[in-house]
Amino acid sequence: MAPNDLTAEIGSGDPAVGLRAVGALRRLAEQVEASYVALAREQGWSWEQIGDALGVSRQSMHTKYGK
Amino acid sequence: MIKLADDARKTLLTWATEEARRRGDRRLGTDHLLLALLHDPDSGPARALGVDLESARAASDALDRAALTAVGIEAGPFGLPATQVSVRRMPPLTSGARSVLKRTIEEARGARETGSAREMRGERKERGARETRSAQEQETPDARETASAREQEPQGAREMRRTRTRRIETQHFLLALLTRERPDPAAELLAALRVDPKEVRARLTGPSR
Repeated sequence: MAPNDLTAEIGSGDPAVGLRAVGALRRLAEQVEASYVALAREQGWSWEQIGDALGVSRQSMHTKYGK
Repeated sequence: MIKLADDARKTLLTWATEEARRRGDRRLGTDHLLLALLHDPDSGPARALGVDLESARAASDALDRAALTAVGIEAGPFGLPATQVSVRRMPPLTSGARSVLKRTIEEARGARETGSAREMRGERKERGARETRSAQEQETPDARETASAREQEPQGAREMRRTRTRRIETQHFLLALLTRERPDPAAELLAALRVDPKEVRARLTGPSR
């Protein structure tokens, strides 16, 4: 599907709205991630297990959320 | 890189960082600076804006939800509880936030002939403009004072000066933010809150300040 078909498909012809939605999705992902990383740590997951689940390195998880 | 020498600026950027983290943004933007100005409800900028932090956060989240709905995505509540927010490091600034900080620093240092300063003076009523200018003239000598002169001052006077300087600093932050135009995130947020930048500017720079 060409990009123009996609913008027609998802219903907003306003780039301000579309780009805001992209930012909002990213923010939502960050918020869900932070919540579930905290929960996983509470339940005893290692940084390596969390990193593997998210497809990122143990180190980056620890840097981001480690105390 | 912008120097963070001043206390007020540091505090504001810490609050803005908290807002960026709370929202899950990777860069510190103009909208976070605007929210940061609302952290102290008794400050001049917060009173001039006439909105509280919680409403502004809610309006920002509502803009996100509306944009997601427009592209066919249903989202639950936004925003992390404050306890999950780490503010250890300041995220990199967006280019909009960078230009707001530059403009703020210019204005605070008395570089009056920037575009925004000229524009603001032009929009003021004659009497208000005169009073504001004279108030600024009274305050600019502070920066030129020698360290030894400052040491000889009583503690209370120094404290008062600091407070006054801080108020001017945060006001300049807001004045710089008010020059932003949509689709800048801060401008969008002000529009969503139905805050008219011209009215806020008048409240900040008017004679009744």
